[in-house]
Amino acid sequence: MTTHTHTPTSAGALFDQRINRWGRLTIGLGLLISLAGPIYLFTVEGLFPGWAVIGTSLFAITTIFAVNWIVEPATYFPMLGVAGTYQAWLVGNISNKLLPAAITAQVATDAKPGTRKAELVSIAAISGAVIIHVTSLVLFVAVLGTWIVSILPERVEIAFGYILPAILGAVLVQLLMALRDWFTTGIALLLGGLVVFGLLALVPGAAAFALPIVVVGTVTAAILRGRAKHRRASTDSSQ
Amino acid sequence: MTDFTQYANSPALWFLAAAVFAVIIVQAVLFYRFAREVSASEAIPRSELVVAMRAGAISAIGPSLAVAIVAIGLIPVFGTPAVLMRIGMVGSVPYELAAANAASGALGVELGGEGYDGVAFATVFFTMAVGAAVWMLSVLIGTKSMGTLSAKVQAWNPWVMQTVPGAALIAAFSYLVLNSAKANLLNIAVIVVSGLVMALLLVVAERKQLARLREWALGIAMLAGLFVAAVAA
Repeated sequence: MTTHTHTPTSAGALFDQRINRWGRLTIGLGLLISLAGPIYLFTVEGLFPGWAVIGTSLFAITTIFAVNWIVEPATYFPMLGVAGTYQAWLVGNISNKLLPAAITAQVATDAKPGTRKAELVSIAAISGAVIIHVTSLVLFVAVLGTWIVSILPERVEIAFGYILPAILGAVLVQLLMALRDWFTTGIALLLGGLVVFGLLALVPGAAAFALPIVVVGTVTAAILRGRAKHRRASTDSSQ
Repeated sequence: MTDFTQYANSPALWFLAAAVFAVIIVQAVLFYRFAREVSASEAIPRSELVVAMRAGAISAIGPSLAVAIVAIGLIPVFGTPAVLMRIGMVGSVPYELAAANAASGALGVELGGEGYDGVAFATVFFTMAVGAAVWMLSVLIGTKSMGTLSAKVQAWNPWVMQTVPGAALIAAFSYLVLNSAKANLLNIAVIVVSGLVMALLLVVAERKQLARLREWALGIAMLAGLFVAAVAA
């Protein structure tokens, strides 16, 4: 594999430009369409609750989500890249569907995170996941709807409630075996443990900061260690 | 009291739900084509993108079914089009419910309960949509500059940008695993089983040179985890 991963070739530059243009356009359209629904109900159907209620509701969600709105896209950005960010924030389901799909595809094609190959492989994987996402919602929710739940054995329905741990355990093992970076893993588990069992137990309100703290802390440790290694390597080679 | 379902199932909302899915599909198709075009100049075989797409699709089956089951449960409260729009785009169920509760709280009604009329539905729907829209807005504004920033770091110190994504992924999934393990013993059992099955599958794929197995690995490991949950629950 080559190491000059983001060579500024004209093809690469055109690609980046196209991703940004169409990424913004599709996200913008999605945003407008999602607001159009309630605004249609407010105006055409005359279901407006009054500004006081709107204000109270908006204030309430701002206090819940303000941190997430800014911090989450930035936290996931290093994992998703530019194209993946546009895809992920249009579709949602980032940690339970899109990242696991991208990681599985990177493992299946031996692509190292941070390379151009990994970026392209992630786009393909997320696109594949998106097709399944849309198909399953249209088929199971829009078409079959409540009928499917009525025929589903209760045990199966309960089991699907455990989908998150079932994904997470497998994805973590996949990452660890592909990257084999035990130092970073150790730091991540240590920090994760401190945050989950320490910080969150003491300050439940800090939930929005939990993931960013672990990610920023681990990445910082990995960079510091990488720099030390890098320096050692360059002094060794100059001697 | 007006029944909210006549509004929740209005043709306009069905049309908008279809439009949301159209935008999502157009984006996926366009991005895949851009990736395919640029892969040639990066000396990445097209077949690898096909493998990646298949692996992504297979891995998404389990989570998609799980999301669909939860989404179906929300239909009585929000109607099908709103559920499709909110769960299909950006949304994740806990966030949507938090936003919905905030709005119904402002009105003093219970979701789907007494007094949950057309106005209440419209307000709840609006609040959920705004919650998602702000996220999209910050992505719309911030992503290009984050891309430029990481390209600068890349040019300045290439090894940094090859360290960061892997470290960030390990950090995120370590945290998510620990946070999920905290909930109860069955969660821990499911995590351990799906993790062990994944390890086994990857070792077998390596030893026996079964490339295809790596595409199916997450789907199979997930199923093993769900099986444990079904037996034990």
